Amino acid sequence: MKAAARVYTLLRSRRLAVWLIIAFIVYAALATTLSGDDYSRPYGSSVFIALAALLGASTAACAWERTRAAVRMRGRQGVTQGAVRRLREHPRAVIDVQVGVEDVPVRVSKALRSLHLRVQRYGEVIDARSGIGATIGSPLFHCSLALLFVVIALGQLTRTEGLMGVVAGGAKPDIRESYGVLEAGPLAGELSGRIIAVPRIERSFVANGVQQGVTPYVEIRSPDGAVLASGYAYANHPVRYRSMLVHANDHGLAAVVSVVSPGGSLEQEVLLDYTASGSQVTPNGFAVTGPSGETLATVLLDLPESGDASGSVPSVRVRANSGASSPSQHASIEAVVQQGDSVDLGQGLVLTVGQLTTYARLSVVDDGSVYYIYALFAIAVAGLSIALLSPPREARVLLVGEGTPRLHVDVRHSRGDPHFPARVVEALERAAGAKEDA
Amino acid sequence: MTQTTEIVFMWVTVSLYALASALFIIGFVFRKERVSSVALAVTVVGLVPHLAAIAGRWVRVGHGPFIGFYEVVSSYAFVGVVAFCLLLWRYRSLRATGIVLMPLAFLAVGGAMLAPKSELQVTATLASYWLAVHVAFAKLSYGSFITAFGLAVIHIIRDRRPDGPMAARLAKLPPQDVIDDLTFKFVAAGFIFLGVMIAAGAIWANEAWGRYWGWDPIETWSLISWLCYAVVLHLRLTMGWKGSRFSWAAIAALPVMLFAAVGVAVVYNTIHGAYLTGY
Ligand code: HEM
Repeated sequence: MKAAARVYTLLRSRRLAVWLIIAFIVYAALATTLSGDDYSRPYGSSVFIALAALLGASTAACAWERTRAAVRMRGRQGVTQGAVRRLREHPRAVIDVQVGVEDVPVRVSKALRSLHLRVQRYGEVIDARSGIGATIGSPLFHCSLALLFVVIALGQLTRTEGLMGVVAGGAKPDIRESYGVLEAGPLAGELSGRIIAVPRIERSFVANGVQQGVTPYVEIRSPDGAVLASGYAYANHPVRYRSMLVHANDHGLAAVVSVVSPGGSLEQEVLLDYTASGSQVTPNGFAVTGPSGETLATVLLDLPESGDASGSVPSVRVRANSGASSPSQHASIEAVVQQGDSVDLGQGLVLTVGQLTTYARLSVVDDGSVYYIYALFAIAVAGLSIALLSPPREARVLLVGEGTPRLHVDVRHSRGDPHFPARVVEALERAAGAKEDA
Repeated sequence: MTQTTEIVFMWVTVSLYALASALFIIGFVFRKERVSSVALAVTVVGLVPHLAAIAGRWVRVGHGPFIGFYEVVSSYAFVGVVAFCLLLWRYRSLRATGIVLMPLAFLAVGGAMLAPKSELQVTATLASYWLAVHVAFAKLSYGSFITAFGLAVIHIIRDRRPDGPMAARLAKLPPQDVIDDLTFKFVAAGFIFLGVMIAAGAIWANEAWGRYWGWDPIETWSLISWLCYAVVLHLRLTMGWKGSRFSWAAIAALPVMLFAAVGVAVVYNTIHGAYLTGY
């Protein structure tokens, strides 16, 4: 218990908070400068995670402290004897009353209300305070900040992000095997199993007056086929369903080939993975297996070396070896063929390029934390604006003296704004008739 | 508006800002109220061709002033000078800040004129209205922090040698506690604006790439500058730093923010490079 209390006392320390934020700044500045081009790597390190966790815990402790302080301030009723004595003996300002004494309470209250304060009478003292809004700003801000640490961490642990290639007219389920690259947080569960379909790909698509280039039309379907969301996916315009976001990342040429063997036939989609700039040609291939699982042939398909990269390349290079040896170094069969052509692979195997078409490389992200992060941030900004622009403030007024009545005034502004006392005094001077209305 | 007209307007702006800077300095050094008033008038007149050049270019190239060094810096200077004029309208006694702010504006616009003025097109990735929110709040926050910096400098000058000749020239400004409070308010406003700017950027990144944060240097440095101002605010609100100590903190944070705004694209290899260098 004692140790826990000590940890808590440390965490809510205001000095520690400042040092932790400074440590975070120093880490980020050094990491970004020293990490080379892999900028995000240093933020997966245990040092950084520990630092962020500590800052998060400290913020949570402070959020709790801020909340308690706000509740205490709300609960504070009345005016203490000490405060009354201070008002009587050491007021911040004294104002002569030039109007009838019986009018004073009403006029003073009205003047204080005009400064957006809530007025209460406690015996002889008129007390005016800012409303609830002013006290909740800081706790609201720090609480949402503390929650942001938690939600962001949960999001990072559970999010999945991957690239899958879907041939025009085709579809793939959202399961691990469908992705070329998949990054999944350590706590990410099973993928959704929804179907990502690309019914068509436009060669050239214009949205909002901007040419978007090759653009896939994407459908997200439930596992049983019902369309959940659909639309063109282009820059700044993903297709989304709940926490799933599908972006068009790139496109390339794909071949749909079939291999007929004495034992049966096999249909295969191959992504000839080149980027629109034509910079990278990555062969792609597959194996043809026999009835007892043995590899009959290994096939690689890619763009012929002279092929141009305009996206309408009509031919594809087929390389194959019998058995399991990869044809990337040495191929016993090599041919450049067009759509509809066949290649004899030997052993009675015939490969036919059924279709040369386009595929869309889709970036599929599933991160349930994103909208919560947005909402928390919006709350944080609202709380921050209140805390900074409309902080707690208070004014107290006591009427003293029988023959020559005077107002004793005390003013408190939690940010020490020098204009606030002046405004209170001016409003009260008007109310007391000591100053003409402007 | 043709590009030639735009360039003529910009040079007129540069000349007027230079004249205003000189007049502010003369008015300050020789304590001539009238000269400072003329300087302010020249500043306001300078805003007219500046606005015309920015608006004319906007219409011609079809996007706001946020691509490439020339557009970005010129529009920052414009927002800064407008903020300066509004501030003087409310607090006439702050006129002496013109001796710092107008030379800065002059240098910024002059520097912008020396940069290539190629008309870069908005690419498909940039075409998002989050860009507008992002850029608008960036300008608001930079304007606020620069103003806070100017106020903090005044506070320090008067605090160090209250009887010195500089302080005497600044005697017409509001009292120190008001300057101190204004510095705090501008830091606070800038902090809120910068927060919104970062959030808008993150939302935009999520729309464009499917990730709201990628530790790209521009992202990291904007977070760093936000946290630097969080430290400045904490020093005041939780450690009781007021007056000169707070002013020094507000002064020290500005270079970080300026580096985040214009230095990062030069130093690092960033996906945001197009914003300043235009590639
Ligand atoms: C990422 C972390 C943090 C950021 C960005 C941050 C930011 C801010 C900002 C902008 C303010 C001024 C607005 C307000 O009054 O609420 C503030 C005030 C304050 N913060 Fe933080 N804060 C952080 C963490 C902490 C921590 C860990 C503590 C714990 C000591 C803390 C304690 C306070 C206190 C006591 C105030 C003064 C509130 C007042 O005077 O009304 N903050 N913080």
